[in-house]
Amino acid sequence: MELLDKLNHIFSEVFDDDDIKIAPYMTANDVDGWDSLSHVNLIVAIESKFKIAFSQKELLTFKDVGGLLNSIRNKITD
Amino acid sequence: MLFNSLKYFMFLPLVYLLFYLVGDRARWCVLLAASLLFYATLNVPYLLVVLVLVTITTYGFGIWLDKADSPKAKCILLWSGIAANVLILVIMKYLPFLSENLKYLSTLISLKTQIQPVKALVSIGVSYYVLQAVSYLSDIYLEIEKPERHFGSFALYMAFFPKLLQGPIERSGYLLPQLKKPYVFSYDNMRSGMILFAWGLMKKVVIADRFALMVNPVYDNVHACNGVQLLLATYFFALQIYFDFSGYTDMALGTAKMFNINLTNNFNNPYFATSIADFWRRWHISFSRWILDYIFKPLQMQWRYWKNWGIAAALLVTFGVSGLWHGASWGYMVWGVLHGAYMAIAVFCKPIQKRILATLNVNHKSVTYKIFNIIVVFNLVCFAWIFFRSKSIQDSYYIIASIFRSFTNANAFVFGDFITYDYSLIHQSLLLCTTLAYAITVFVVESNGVGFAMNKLLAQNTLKRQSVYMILLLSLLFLGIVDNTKFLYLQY
Amino acid sequence: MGKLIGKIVTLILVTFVVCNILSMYLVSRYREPSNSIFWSKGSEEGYSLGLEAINKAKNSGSAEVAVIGDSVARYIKEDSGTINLATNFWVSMAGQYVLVNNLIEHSKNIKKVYLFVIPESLRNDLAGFGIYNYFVKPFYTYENLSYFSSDTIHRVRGNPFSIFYLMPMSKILPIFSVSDYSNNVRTIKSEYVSPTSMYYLRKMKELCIAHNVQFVVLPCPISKTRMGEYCSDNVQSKIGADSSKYQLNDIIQDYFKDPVVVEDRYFGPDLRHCKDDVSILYLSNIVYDKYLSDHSRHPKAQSLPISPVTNLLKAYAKYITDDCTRILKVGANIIVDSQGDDPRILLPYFMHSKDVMLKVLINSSCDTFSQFYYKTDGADEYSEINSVKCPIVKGNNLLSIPIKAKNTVGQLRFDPGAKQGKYTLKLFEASDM
Repeated sequence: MELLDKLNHIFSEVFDDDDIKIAPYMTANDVDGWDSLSHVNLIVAIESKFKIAFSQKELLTFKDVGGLLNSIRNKITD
Repeated sequence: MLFNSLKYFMFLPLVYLLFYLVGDRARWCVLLAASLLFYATLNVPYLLVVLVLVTITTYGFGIWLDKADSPKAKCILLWSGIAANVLILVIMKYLPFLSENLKYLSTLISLKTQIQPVKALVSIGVSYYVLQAVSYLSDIYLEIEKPERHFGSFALYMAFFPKLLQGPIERSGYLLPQLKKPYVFSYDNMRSGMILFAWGLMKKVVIADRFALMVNPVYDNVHACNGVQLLLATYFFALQIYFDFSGYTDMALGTAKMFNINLTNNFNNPYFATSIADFWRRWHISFSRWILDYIFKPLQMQWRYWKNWGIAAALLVTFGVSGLWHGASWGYMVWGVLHGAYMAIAVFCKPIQKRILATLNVNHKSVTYKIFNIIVVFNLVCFAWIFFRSKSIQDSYYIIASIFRSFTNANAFVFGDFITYDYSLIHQSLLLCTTLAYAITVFVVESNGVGFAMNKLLAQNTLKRQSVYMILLLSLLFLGIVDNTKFLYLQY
Repeated sequence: MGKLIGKIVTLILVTFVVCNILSMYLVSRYREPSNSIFWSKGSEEGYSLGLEAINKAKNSGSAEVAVIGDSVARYIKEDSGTINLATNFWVSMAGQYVLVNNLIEHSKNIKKVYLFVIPESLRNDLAGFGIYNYFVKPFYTYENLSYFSSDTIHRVRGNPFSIFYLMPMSKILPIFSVSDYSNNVRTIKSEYVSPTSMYYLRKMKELCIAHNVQFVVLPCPISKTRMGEYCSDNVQSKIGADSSKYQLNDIIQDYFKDPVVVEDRYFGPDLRHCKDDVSILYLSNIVYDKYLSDHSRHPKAQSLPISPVTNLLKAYAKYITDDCTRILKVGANIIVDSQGDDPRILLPYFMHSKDVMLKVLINSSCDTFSQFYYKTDGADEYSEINSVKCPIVKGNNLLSIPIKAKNTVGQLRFDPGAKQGKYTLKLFEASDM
């Protein structure tokens, strides 16, 4: 689960918390500090790390970490 | 009609009885008819027309949007649907404001054209269901929801009378399924619905309307009051608007509960927020989630490459719109932008804040720090309320200047005349003490949430429960403020 | 569902009983509205007005003359032999009847009852938005029920919530105060005096006769404008028609016989109530002199000089000024004789937070200008900025001077002219703009 680890690393960096362990079912409520203001930092970090770009529509429909993972996976395999 | 009127106390049982007696297939008809009747009793016929117009337009655009194939077509349809609804809202609410300001602008650049002032139209409820319509269309576009095919259900979703006049703003995914569920009589829901309604009613007529009595003489006549009176009136206004709005929301939720419908909770101890962002997660929740999802998030994502500046800009725009939505005047605009500015500044200052706390060796999880934050946030919010409540921007400036002047003037505080009234000091003090006592009680009871308090109440034995009901009823009957304005001029 | 309805009904009944018990306690302890925390300002006023009047009627002491009537009659002075129980238009003749009953029942000394009313009060037929708070709440009680005619009771019951009106809770709970009798219209028409008033005027008269008490119905001083309206509406003849048709001749026939008519300026904006303390004193004296003073026991009330000039200058015998100026009072006028060219008079303390219009009639011996100086709070000196100049010519000048200043305090300084000469002040009045 390389992708999950990489994503976990990004989460740790953005939220300044080395103990974060994300899982596909988690949402913003489950991660300390993940609110709408910091969400955008997360997205920018992901986009720059994986060299991808999300569309407006996608960004507004992510429900949880799993959705984020799928979207990233689709983009890097395209 | 308003929730705190005799008409409503007769309307509600009749509607419920009818609702209970007809079969499931006709229940939505009863509720829809009742909702339209409810809206009609405001005696403003064109409002019904607006509601029907918005309902039909949104219903049509929803189905159209779903049927459309290309993303481009979908985008155009979405924006047309939104534009249609916003246009209706603008016409209803903002025409006088716009024409006034256009007139002012035209005198600045000395245009010869005469812009006639437009009379303000009543627009109760329009702001709320237009937002609902926009959220409905957006959810269909984002493919989170499917459009509602049954026109009756959709119309009921828009017009449901408990939430028609003052919200909460409901998402279609949350409310529509509930409206379509068959109804089974639930003793618990009836009971908790009625208790919640009585609780909300008490918040409004015993507490909020009393604070209003102390705030209105001051805010309506700013130049006659000194700094301390203005300061106190501002704090009282903060309490008044909370109890008024949360009381009204409780009444809406209580009413809906009787029909087995759960509406979203709008308040969560807002004055215990530890930051302005936290405040907006606790105040008018259905509205702040709406602006978060449909204005802030899209803008923020759009401007994400501007980093903090992008966030700040998104915040200012979002809350500027929020201010304007609350009312068509510069005062509301300033209030909204002020909140946006508070949060934007907080975003920029976050790292600095962290550093200061580290140097001062403050534990950011400690109770003292929390209390400090709560006090600061409350005062920031009250400062913004000045612009919200005062009759004009000039009044706001006068109030602020007065308050700050009074800090430097040692003789400013004279206890005896802190409220301008014709009644004696004893009466004024009693009035204030009763109201404050009730306010504090409500804060304590609701500290863990209304639901928690309700469950705790219902778990008590019969005697305790009945006493609570009795105290509620007696408070309403003996201390409820009744509109007596026509009696103020009774000398003959 | 049935269980729920049962529980609700039980709760309502219990609350009903508790409300009444609590209210009974509160009614027995009811003093003035200022100590009550149950906020409904208008209804508190009405309730306390009636209650105070009833209490006073029960404790009239040694008074021999009682004055009852409208709010307009409230300024009539009391003294050791006269008691004033005036209430309000909304109390209606039914309420006044209750008061007279209480008076006579509890006092051995009452010899005269004067009912001072404006003509409109005679039209009160227990209809209108004030009836609940000013009449039903204080007067419609078990102990007073026997005083009321079946017609009155029927009219009170015209309101659907009247089943509660004899219960203590209707006297205390704010929700009742919005009871509205606006639609309590009657089909029987009289010329002017309402059937309610007719009935109770007759009852009051009979009651008084039975106890050897004189009962007189009189008008308070009326403003000129209002009197003009009454004349153009033929009120006098209408009342006359009613009194002969309904056998009220001995009661109100002389009502309009010799009314006191006074200039408008003594009244407030409604042209019925007195404007200020000066007017109250003035009108009170007129009423006393005309109707009440044959009560020989009392010294005459302090009389007020009513010369127009002294309206503003009344209290001052001395006018501080400079050495070259003499002030003489000649008849109703004041003459300022100045040898120097800067005569100035300091007028009485003048404190106003509204704009004021001064009206001055001044006769000057030369062409010059008058100047009025005022001080605003905080200022020690008079200054040109806070002054109004007005040119005057030889002969009579009628000046209208607006003093547009917030918070004028201290004394007005008046320079009648800027030259040597004789200035005669014939009129000097101040009124709100």
